[in-house]
Amino acid sequence: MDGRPPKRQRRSKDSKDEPKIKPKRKPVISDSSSPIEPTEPFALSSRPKPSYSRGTTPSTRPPSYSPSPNKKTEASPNQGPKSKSLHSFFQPATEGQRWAPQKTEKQSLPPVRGTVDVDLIEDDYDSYDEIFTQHLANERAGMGLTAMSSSQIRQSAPKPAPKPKAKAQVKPPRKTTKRFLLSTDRGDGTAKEPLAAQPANEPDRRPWAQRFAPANLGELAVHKKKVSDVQHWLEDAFAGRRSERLLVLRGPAGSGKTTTVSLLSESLGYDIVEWKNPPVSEFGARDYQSVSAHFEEFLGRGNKFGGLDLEDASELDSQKEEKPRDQRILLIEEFPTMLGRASSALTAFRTSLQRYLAASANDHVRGSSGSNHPPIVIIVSETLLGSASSISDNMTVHRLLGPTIYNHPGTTILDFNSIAPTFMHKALRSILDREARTSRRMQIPGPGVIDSISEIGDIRSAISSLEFLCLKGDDTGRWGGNVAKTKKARGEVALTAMEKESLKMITQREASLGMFHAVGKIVYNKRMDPSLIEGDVEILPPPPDYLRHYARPKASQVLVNDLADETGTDVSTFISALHENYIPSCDGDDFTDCFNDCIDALSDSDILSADHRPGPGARAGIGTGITSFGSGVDVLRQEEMSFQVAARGLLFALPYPVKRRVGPGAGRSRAGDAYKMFYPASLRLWREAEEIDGLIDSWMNRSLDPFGQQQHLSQNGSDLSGVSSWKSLQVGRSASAYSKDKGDIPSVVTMMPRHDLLLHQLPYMAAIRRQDPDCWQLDKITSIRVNQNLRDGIDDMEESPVPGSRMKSSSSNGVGPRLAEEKLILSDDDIVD
Amino acid sequence: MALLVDKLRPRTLDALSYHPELSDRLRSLAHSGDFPHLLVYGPSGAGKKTRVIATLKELYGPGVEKIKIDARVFQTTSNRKLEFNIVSSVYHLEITPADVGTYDRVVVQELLKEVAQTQQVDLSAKQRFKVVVINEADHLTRDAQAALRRTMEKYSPNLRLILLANSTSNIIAPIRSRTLLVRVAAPTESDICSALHLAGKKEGWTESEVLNKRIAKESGRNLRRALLMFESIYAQNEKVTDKTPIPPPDWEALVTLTADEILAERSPARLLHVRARLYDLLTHCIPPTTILKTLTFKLVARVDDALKPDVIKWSAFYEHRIKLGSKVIFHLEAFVAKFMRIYESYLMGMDF
Repeated sequence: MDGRPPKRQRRSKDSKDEPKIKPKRKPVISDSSSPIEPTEPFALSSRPKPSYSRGTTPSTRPPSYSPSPNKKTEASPNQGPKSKSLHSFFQPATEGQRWAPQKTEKQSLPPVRGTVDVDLIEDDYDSYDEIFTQHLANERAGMGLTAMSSSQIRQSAPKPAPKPKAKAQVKPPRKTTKRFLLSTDRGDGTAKEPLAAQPANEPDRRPWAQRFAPANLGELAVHKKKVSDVQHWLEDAFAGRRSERLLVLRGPAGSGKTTTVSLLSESLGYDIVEWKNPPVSEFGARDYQSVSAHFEEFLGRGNKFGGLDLEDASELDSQKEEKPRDQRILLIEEFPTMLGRASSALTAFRTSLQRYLAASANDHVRGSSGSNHPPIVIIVSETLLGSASSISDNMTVHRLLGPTIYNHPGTTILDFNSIAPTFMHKALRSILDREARTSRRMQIPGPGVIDSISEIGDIRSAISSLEFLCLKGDDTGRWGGNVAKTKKARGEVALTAMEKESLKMITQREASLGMFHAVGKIVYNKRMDPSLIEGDVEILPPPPDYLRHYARPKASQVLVNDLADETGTDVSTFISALHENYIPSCDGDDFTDCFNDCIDALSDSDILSADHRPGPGARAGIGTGITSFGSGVDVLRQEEMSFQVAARGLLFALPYPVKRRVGPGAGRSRAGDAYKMFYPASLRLWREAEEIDGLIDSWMNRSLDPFGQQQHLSQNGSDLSGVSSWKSLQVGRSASAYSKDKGDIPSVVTMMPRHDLLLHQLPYMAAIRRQDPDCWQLDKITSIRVNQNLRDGIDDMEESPVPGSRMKSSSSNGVGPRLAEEKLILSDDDIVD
Repeated sequence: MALLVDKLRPRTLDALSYHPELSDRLRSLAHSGDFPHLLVYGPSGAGKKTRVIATLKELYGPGVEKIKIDARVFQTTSNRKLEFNIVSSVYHLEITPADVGTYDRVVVQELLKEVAQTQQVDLSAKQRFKVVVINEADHLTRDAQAALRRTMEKYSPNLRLILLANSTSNIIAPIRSRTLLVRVAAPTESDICSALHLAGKKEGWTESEVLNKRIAKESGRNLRRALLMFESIYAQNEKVTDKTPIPPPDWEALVTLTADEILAERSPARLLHVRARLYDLLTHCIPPTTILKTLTFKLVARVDDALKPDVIKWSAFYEHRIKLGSKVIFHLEAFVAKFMRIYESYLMGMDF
């Protein structure tokens, strides 16, 4: 007791210093219907509690963020556990913890026993808290002692939590006074996702991304059309109306792919059997089974004994009355391996899928509704924005599945776009509202903040960012928004100073901004004005007469050597970005000279760059400069040389002053285009080129295969869809050792040079075989839409409201240099609004 | 529903409709008892492959047409696995090593060694040696060609090579000197006309003389292409007249359009526009050198004589750079920019 009073005094002094705490207390008091004013001296003794709960939260912010130093001192005693709380908060969300129920059940099962006692302690502690709060509310006058004891307990509470699990339990901010409200919220929270380690009447401390996960399709932020696409596909597949058995959902991370599937499982009533990579087993172990074998088994078992997997899940899940469902899907989100593009595990993965597809196609032909072969749903988070060097590491559906499955008639691919800002805005806003309902938060980040967070496009990360922002608490009163306030018109609200500051901290695009910044420096080509030059700058003599045309009277202000460090990306990407953006700067009288010189410099720099010769895979490719990293220092040197040549060459050749302009001739220029910086298109197109390359390969094989030709013959008569054709092709290829009578041979089988095939044979074949079911493939390879002028008009109309749609249409028509607009994450999802 | 091209491919030397002298010589070569290594060259669509297969049939009889297709997997030193198609009969083997890019040396060495070390199994075979047909020999890397040279010497009792190439310029001298060079010239336009006529008669199509001539001209004396055009025209049109348009492949149409656009206007905006076009072509896997070449010829046809040497010079310059460098679009665009500059200064009457 001796030690206590000074502390209390200190705290009360602190809180006096900081009057902003008072507004925060108000709701608490009114909640407990206490008439006592917070200014009453004794009430101050209860400060530790709210300040504690706030104290935990600010610690997750970097110190500079904290507006008042008092808080820091308050927070310091609890520093130990709190610093961990940071992890407990953000790791789950950023690691992409899924919302699918099965997973969490399984994962959280083992630690239950271990954490029980800790939870008990917590419970105790909480009940103390409760008592204390009620005390506080009802008889505020005589409670100094209670407050002290409770604060004592509070400080000791985290101690018996050496296990990480338990610590995570303690961490998240707890608003003790709101427990009763919270319990309702928890009700539905547990129903959805029972965290075994959490007692039922605990406040929900999961990250917001999980806590406020959409509970029904209405709340889902994904475009309705997309959801209904998936829904129809699944319905048709269950009803046996469609022969496709493989649905691939692809899209950037956090675009709601998994959530869509798991929510649809509720509404359509199917079970999800999910593939999980088995733990690594010892290679030499007796019952060693490769991952591929496991996967094969999974596919086989999934359609026969899939129910078994679900049995234990339903046991766990006591709240949900488990009705056995006859429909199920196989969900594959983890892939056996992505090591190397030709690795045997990947091949095995593809073969298993192919076999499955073939078997199910067989089923379909025989007329069974396909219930022994549940549809497979594969979810791929594609990473497309890679720098040149990481292109080969990027994962695309095409790389995962290979051309055969990718273009297989049994495969449907649905693209998910990043969540559109409007949807995102709505979702974030509703989360804030719901959160405010439970936490009694009065001040929320204003619409401006939400807008800029909405730009992220990845909803999981957006919610985490929002949570991070809100951790600050609402006592400072500098947020622009208010729970009660009705939504203002977007875009008109200016950001408050603190909002700006906070946004700076969570903004996610430093790297690319750095690159665009650096590109901007070069393409704007600032030069020194000779009249303003300070004395110590050496003025070089003009060049001799025969080099007169190389004279540039004004020296460049850009420090190229320093710029090399600022690019924020690798040299190759940077040079591509320069290439993408230099043209509008060339506008001027002698523009031909200008861009000729510029592109010459770029061409030179490419020759100097380290990565020669695209690899064998990129034979016909788009030439993105995939680096096959050599060894030794010379590579680094070469990189630098090529950087210097490109940067200095452009600076030298560009006119001064630069007036960026995209002339009217471009056809689809829009106001402001000239001032935008674009991400290099060449680095985006490789995926498409790769797909087409794969198709060409498969047609080359087909042209070799007499069986393939034969089945084409037979197939035109029958009304089977392409599945059967594919199968017999497969048979033909695997049964390689056959021979035929001379009379049967429709034609002499020889190989054809790829070049000839692509340039001559396939285009005409596309014209000849109009009725062929696989004609779309030919079309995809050969048809390059030519009616550009017509298109320009249309594009203008389409694009002005929906710039993002260009990405979609770009597959066949001009892949404009404006691809970079995808950056802005406007997508056609915006149309709705 | 095989294509006309495949259906009508002559199987024997007798059935070949043009270059009768060449056919005769090949026949006597096949009957002479010995058979040298051959290097058959000529433009594509001239009938090289057809002649080679007919010659093989002459050598071995109809057994050559019993074909199987294998997908072999080769492992490179860096543990990369290469899948590689082989078309083979008991007597011969057909490969396209250029398909595996820079790894062609591995394939050539391993495969030829394997073939050469096994004797002919069929005792009743007319010849003691096997034949390996190598497609696109001019796309082989130097390494692979060197490997080929050694193989030719070492295993000559069991193995004969027939190399197919578009021109001999890319083939190293030692190989040229070890092979018998056989040139298959492109068919003349009247050759093509008669081939089309035959095809039309076989299919029972009403044909038009003038259209056939136009096709023969359009096809650039490429018989394969002519037949494909012929078939596609009949597939697309119910009634064929003299004036039926012959649609070029999309990529070619796009290149033509691009050339028009370059000539029509020269501005930064237009350059951006052309760049979009080039990206289009590249994503459709049209080889950059083909783009450059086609574009150059389209442009050259439309500019003044004084400009032509320069255009060709720069075209060659940037084609070389495409081969050397890695970012193809830079060099293509550089050519377009260079052309714009030359053309602009020419129009303004300046020296360029």
